[in-house]
Amino acid sequence: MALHPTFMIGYYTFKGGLRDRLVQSLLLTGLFFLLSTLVFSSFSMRQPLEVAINYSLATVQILTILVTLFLGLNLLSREIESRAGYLVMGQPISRTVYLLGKFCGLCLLSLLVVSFLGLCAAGGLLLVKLGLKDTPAIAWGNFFVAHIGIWMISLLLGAVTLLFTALATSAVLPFLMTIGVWFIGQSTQAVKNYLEAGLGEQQMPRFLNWLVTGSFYCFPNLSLFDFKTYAIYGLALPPLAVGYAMAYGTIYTMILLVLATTLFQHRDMT
Amino acid sequence: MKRLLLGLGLAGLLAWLIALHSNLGGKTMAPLRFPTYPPALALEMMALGNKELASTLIFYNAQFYFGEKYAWRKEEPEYQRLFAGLDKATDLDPRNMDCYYFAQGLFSDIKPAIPVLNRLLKKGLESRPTDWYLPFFLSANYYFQLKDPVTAAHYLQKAAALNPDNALFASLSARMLYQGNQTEAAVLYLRAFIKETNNPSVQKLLLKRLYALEAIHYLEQAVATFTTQHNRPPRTLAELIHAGIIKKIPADPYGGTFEFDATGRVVTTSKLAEAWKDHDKRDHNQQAQ
Repeated sequence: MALHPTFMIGYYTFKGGLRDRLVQSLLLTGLFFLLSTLVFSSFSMRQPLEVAINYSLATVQILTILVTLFLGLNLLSREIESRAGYLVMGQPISRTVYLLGKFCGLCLLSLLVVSFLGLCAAGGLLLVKLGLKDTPAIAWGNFFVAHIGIWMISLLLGAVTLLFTALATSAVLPFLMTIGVWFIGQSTQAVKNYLEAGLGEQQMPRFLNWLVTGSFYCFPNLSLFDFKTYAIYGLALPPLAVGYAMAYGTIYTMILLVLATTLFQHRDMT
Repeated sequence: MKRLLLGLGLAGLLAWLIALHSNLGGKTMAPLRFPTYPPALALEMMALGNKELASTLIFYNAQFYFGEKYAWRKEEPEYQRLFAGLDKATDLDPRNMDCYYFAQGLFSDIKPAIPVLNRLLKKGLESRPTDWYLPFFLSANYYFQLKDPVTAAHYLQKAAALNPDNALFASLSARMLYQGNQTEAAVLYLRAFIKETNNPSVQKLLLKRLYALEAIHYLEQAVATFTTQHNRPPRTLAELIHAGIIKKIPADPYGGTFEFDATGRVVTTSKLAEAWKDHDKRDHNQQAQ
């Protein structure tokens, strides 16, 4: 049975991503960082295991996002800029299928990256735990959910890259703009909490207050996908928060994909 | 060949420079200052979703700074900046136990720092309600530095509830309450604690303290009755027997004798402590020799 063209494009995007030297070197760097968990956690006075989990998850998150950003740059933006994608679009497939196929490939690649780094992190944690006495048990379920959260962030940022790629004519611009969205998306919740607590009213002009509130609703709230605290301290995960984050992430990503495909459909490629 | 000679020459020069650096001691080193971190909100924004890691990094920086400044350079650390750093680190991750542990070790001997240190520890207690270390630290600060045995007892009771197998916490907190003229509260607390604990050795230890405190409370009530009846406090405990308020003076389970101290308070020569009693006895024997 022949695969749907979307999945075919996804498959070839995935294969292309695996050959990407930058991705390979980032994964190697990640492996090195995760092995360094042993050294990093040894400086802790009272909570070496918690520090090890903290360090591993932060490494996985930063590297997964970096890989997604560079993959977005190399596999989407550069391909469209260099007109290599025209070869595929010359086939009897719609631009929507082409863009969705690219996104599927990106999803698979980031899933592979997050799984690979997650397994390395788990190995590092087991090594740390072996060398410690009377340590609390690692909340593996929470550790897994924290990785799903990281994957969701990378999917959302992948969709953001796709949207900017559909808009921009330069390859670097979507890359830089996605970094901007990443920065804003990670901060909006903290700034909103600060304002709602009444701490910023005196220092902040009113228009800045509106700007922050507007950003909170326009930009993706990436802190919703942060389950690292639950994994680090073995706290009970609220199922509602996980469910809400997943629903929010899925709907936001779908909106971005609809926007991206619509814009790409009407884009003048000549 | 020329390149090899040049390389060897440069390597020799570098080795000489390294040796020179060691001989110069601290003369080539820049002054070591602990950084002033931006507000916690800015730090959180810069951490890009990794505020727990940022908190750990600030703690590591504080730890390394203190080690180099105090132990290696033998200079006075910038305690206020260190505290501000640890405060921001715990704003980023209020569960970061390393910060509280380090702060307690660093500031518990500096009396003017105790109020802010206690504020920091209370922040930790809110986020780590099951950790007995934090109420234990607070109790020590209130007892030894702020001379407030009642508040100290309150926090030690929390520590005891979180670590019920450690009989010392419950026993000590009852003693603190007694020192803060709260004997009845001490008795009630110990009764409740003994009822809840399943550990027989803990029960045994605490029962001894309970009997001693019950005896003191019994005598305190008798003194109050005597004072009401005679419009003056008794001069000795024997007066309570002569007045018919009590039949006999109860025995101190720690082996001491009940008496009045200079302020007219019921105390015992055992000071409610086995080890202290033995210590006193040893001292007495040594003096006699």
